[in-house]
Amino acid sequence: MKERIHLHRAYKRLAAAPPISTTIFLLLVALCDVLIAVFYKPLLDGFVSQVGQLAALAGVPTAVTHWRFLPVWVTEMPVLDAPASFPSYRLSLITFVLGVLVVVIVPRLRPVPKVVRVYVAFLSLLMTASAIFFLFFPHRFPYDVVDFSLLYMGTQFGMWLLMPIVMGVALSSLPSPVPEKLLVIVATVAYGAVFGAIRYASFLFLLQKLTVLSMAAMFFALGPLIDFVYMVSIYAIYVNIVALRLRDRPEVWRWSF
Amino acid sequence: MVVLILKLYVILVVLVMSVYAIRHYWLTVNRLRGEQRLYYQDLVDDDLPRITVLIPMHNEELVARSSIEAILRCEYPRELMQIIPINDHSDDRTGEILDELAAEHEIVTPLHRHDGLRGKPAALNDALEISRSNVIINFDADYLPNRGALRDLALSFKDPEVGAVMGRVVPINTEANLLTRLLDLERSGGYQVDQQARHNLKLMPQYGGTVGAYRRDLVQAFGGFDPTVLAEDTDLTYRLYISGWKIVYANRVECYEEVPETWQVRSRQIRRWSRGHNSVMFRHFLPLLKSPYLNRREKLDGMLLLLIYLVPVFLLTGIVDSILLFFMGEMQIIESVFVFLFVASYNSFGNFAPFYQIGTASLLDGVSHRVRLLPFLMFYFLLNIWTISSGFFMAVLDKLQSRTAEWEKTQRFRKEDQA
Repeated sequence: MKERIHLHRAYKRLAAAPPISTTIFLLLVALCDVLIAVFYKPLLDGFVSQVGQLAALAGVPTAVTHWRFLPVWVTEMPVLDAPASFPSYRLSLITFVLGVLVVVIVPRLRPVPKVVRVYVAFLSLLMTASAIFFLFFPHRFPYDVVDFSLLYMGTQFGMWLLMPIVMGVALSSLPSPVPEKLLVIVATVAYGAVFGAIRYASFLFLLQKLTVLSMAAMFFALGPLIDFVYMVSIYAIYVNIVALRLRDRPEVWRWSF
Repeated sequence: MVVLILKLYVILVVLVMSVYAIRHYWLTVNRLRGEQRLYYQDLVDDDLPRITVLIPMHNEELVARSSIEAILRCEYPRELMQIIPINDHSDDRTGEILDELAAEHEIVTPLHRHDGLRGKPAALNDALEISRSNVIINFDADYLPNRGALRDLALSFKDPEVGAVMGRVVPINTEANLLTRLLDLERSGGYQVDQQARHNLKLMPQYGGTVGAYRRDLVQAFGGFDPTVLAEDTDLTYRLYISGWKIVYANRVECYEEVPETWQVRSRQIRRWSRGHNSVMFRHFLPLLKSPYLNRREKLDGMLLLLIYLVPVFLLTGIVDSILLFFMGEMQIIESVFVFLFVASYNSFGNFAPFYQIGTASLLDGVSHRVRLLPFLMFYFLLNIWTISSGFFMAVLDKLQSRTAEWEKTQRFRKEDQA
């Protein structure tokens, strides 16, 4: 016997959200964004300084450089410069051979889950493409550590601005208090800042140890792609909490029949 | 010039993804908070139509008996019912099992096909010829309908505007492994939110080829199912809409199916869907836009639905484009923000349903803990991008070389005690 019998889920819904609370929530989300945009300078300076300290712990010396060229309100972007090594012909060749081998062998490793195989193959393809570039046009590689840092910081700052919007939109329809939803957004951005700092320091370390050969893989396979994973994880945990809470509150639900 | 084109393409991909993200947000809010458009289940009418249930089967010995027995348990007057399981070129015990069932139940009249084209559309065409009723209900071989399903599906044809009806598909083997749990989340987002919201908003709910019903005379007037098409369900959906018929979605008509339990089987299934859906897209895109029976909103929704299996191709080419820009040294600060937008967009849409749509569907379904698997879908979408894109390129080659795709059967995993 079931302990409780719920009404059918087919036409279950929530009451329409009061327009006032939705509007207030979305305005507060916009305010979050405005605050990040207005206080970008201390935020970015603080972030870069933390990354510098983390990198120093890993034995990577860094120096802060300020880029002043941006046409928008962010007129200055602090970025870190650090020593990085350039791949030798031999390393590029080894990477190419290994990359091709991984791309050929990994898809055939049946015991490994296919999602993992596809992700590893994607990572290896990026490394192989990079190795080919360094085998044939080593002097045309367009980035140094400062360029990469600028790219990273631009993406990181873009994420800080977009995260509240994406999370705000996703959370807006959920039946929970506005302050709670705002807290989830702030927690996501805060997690993003901590994770972003550790990742930036790790990238600087890897650029020194693995050479700039790994730059493309870092950016495309371990960059914004991973940011979305933790953002969705936080959303999923929160929906789980809301779902458990609503289970004991049948009065919240409406049925269209 | 080349760089400009590459950059414009990245922006185009971001825009396309954003259109889909907005569409799905609209559907999500409508489903969670809006008025729900009811189906016809509350109609009280003793005058039920005569129905024929068709179940195409190719080597389905693992599921044949349990599926037909589940249909026999449905509440529908026996004298108005005919069940035609189609033994389509099986070389296992399927035919034998069907003959046993026919001996036990008068209304089970198997159709054995050993020559002619193999595949679901050809099998259905043959079965339509011997069907004794105009209302045809389709189930795939592994489906287990609930007891009220036949009545609920058949009732919709009391509405003279309805050409087809679609019920909800629910995985039965959800607990098997991570893949089946992820597929359960995906199905939940697709039916509980997507299909129901499109039904609410009078857009274009889709007939999905199983747990669905249609009028036989309409299909035969269209010349039957096209045996060269792998997605005969999408083909019928568009033929009906373009000719002015409506398709309704019945969220309460739940039917249990077996989802693939291995990534290999899932890849093949989704590649086949992509190949079939894209060939239908080539066929119906212009007629859809020209149809005098559809309003602008319906046309827009129909167009977005038709292009849905093209989105992963956009994403894949967008990634290649971004990598090219990276090595050309053209990935500057503004472009990097675009890359984030692009990645964020395709992450939110990589699995046909954005994360907020699946989260909302789980909430409505009362699923609590499983929703925590949502981030794993992010890795699953890489696989989807690859397999769907390869399906698209196969469809292009089919079109260019006028070749016919061969029907591929989905492997079953059901065990005796699961029926």
